Amino acid sequence: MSNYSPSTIARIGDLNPKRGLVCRTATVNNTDVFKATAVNIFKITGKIRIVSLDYEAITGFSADASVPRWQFVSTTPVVALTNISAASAANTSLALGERVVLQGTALNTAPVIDAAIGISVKPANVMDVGSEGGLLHLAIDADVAQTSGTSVFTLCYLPLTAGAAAEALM
Amino acid sequence: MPNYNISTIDRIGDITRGIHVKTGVLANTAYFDHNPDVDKPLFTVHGRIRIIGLNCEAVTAFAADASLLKWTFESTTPVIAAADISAVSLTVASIPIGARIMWRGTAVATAPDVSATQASIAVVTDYMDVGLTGGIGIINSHATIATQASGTCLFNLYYLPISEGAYVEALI
Repeated sequence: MSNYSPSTIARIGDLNPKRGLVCRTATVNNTDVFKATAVNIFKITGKIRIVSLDYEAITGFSADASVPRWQFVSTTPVVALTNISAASAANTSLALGERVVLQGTALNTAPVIDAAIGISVKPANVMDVGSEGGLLHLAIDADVAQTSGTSVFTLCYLPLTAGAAAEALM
Repeated sequence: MPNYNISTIDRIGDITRGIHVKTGVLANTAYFDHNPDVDKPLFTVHGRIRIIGLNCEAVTAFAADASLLKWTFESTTPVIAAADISAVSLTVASIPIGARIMWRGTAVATAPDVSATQASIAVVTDYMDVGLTGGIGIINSHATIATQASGTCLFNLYYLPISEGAYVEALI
């Protein structure tokens, strides 16, 4: 059994299709991302396969009934804001460590809130987004703004077109 | 056809099936101990990881005691109580050397499979993320119903890191 350095462990993760490349935001203030309008979280170049997409409460959420849904807005080619999930159940007072996970089954499937803190079941499906040579953003629209708390967003993906990549915008 | 050396084959395994961490060989009397009915720490989880596989293998044959096995995860930093990451298995009574109890990962209430031989069928394809960004936690085993009177076992974990610097160590 090997004793890998952290950077090697990370590269092994990159190469496994059950995780793929991982793209994470810094810890962000909920007031900056969970708003009543769409906020861009990740920039996607080309076409990717979303293996998993979630956010984790780094500190507890406020008692506001935010119902975030994931969307994409494509700038190349121009495609209007489009839902890739339904709204989740209310994220009111989400506890530290709790995650909300995109399911990928249909564009109107709601993300799932962890039943137990720190334990997230595999999403039901993967989802492909983007287009050959295209550029889009994955955005989140909470409908009801959060007034406190912090989060990290995690996207695990596989590139599907030449040069495809994801980039965290914050 | 390439003729890889063993260490290269090991590396290919880590990349394709996840990084392997295993416990030492453990006495069933200690790790399938129904009295006291408590969690037994197996692995320390630093950060958030993706469990690709988790199983218990009979190193020597199990006793004819109808023990059931489940796994739990608890966070120690920050402190969050243990929660099940599986239901309990069917009985592990008298499983032979090499047989495995296999976590399925489909849901936190999915029972592990108990194989009757060294050949595990319906190999696990689901995964589950455990751990918190920047946190430390423990994967435990937990035996119920009956205590194994003899036999030995070891636990295998296959994982991928999700948060920055995430990794796993065997505790025993």
